[in-house]
Amino acid sequence: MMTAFETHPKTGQPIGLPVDPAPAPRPGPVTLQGRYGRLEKLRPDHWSDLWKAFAGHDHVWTYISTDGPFAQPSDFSDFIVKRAAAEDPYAYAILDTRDRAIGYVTLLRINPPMRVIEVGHVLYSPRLQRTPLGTETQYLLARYVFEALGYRRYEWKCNALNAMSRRAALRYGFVYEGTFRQHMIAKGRNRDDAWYSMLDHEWPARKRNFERWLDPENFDEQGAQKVSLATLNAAAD
Amino acid sequence: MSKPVLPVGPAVDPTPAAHPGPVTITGRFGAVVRLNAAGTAAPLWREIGKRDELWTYISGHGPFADERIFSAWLEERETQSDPYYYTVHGPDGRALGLIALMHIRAAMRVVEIGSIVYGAALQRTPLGTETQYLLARYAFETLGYRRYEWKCDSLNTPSRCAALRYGFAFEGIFRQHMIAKGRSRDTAYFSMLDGEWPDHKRNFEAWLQDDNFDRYGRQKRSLAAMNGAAA
Repeated sequence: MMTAFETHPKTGQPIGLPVDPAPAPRPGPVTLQGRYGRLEKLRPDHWSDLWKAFAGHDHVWTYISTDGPFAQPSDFSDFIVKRAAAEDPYAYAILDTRDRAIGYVTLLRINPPMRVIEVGHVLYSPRLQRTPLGTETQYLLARYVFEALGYRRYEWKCNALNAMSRRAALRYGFVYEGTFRQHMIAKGRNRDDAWYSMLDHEWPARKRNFERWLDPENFDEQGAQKVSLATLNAAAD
Repeated sequence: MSKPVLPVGPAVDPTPAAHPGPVTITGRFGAVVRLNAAGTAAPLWREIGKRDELWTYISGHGPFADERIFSAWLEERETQSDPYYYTVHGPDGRALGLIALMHIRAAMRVVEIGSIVYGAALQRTPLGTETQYLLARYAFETLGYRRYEWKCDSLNTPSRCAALRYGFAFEGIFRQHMIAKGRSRDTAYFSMLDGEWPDHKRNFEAWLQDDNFDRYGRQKRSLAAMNGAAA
């Protein structure tokens, strides 16, 4: 991969191109309304809906590096209180059209001066996995990050063994950048991290693909997709 | 209820690594010493402070308009625990360069070697290489880290070549990773792991041996070749 560059006026060394260094704002308590549901700032009272959606599905927590699974509702409720109050990761609840919270997602490692931010702690309950709302969540959040907040690098990382998360990143249009070996000790075990990113100038093409995929026209009467998002994003390159 | 079997990594010792300390690590060609700004500001100004080209790829720091500004900057570095700075000294004790252990994640047992500013008297010398050997040995053997990172501006070719020569493995490039001095910076990432250290240590030691240099001080075998990096 070639980095665009100019020549330093005094030393002659190659240096990157000038960019607007105005810091991006931090994410805020917005509601992001979609067609299949919405995101709103995670609140402590979302815990009981989330408990219903997550209880009994311990495997959802396997690759979350520090949290879960939770045996007791009270432990989970305490966790959601803490998660709702945190500034980084900054969490949003994912609600279906019946106003039930069935997952959450966060923006984290928020770096306003570098205009870099990560989407992570993506907790989709089985009711949200492989649904249009699951994909729309990613669309709404990426649009907010690039268009409303002005970030220029949007990161995705996951345990390198988490095949589902790696596939999801590529399907949404993130580009694989590399794997950090022995990057963490997570729940007492070695974790290699796979890194992905989407850039501000890539967003318009990704956005078009998200919108085309999410269009009701893209689903047949049984709700099956006609064209896959992975196909659209592979075609975009 | 579906309970998929998901692969997980092997168990590792989760005992946190130690934070770098105020040590002096002596080698055969010189020494690495905890930064003492008052004692090194004057020689470091001459070796690195006033050399603008050494600061091009150091994000957020330098170049410096005069010695007073450089000295104040160096004093502030001494107060920081991360990055934790060391100076590199020649056999006569003179300070020739600056280096730091940084981005210290003791609980994850991950640390980075960076903010490396070698003056002309240190570049392409055995002491420059020995410095890397001494600090890697300290990080792996004394402090107990299991991942040792190197990162640099992807346009900084000398730094990328140095990382491979020392035995770091290239892991990838983070695109638009920073805004450095008002410009877009892609960052190249490298690492060395605890399991790889014994091999790289052996190569460092073989390269640093007296018998690896001819009577004009020229190397016989290159470290890049030993480490399997492009020479």
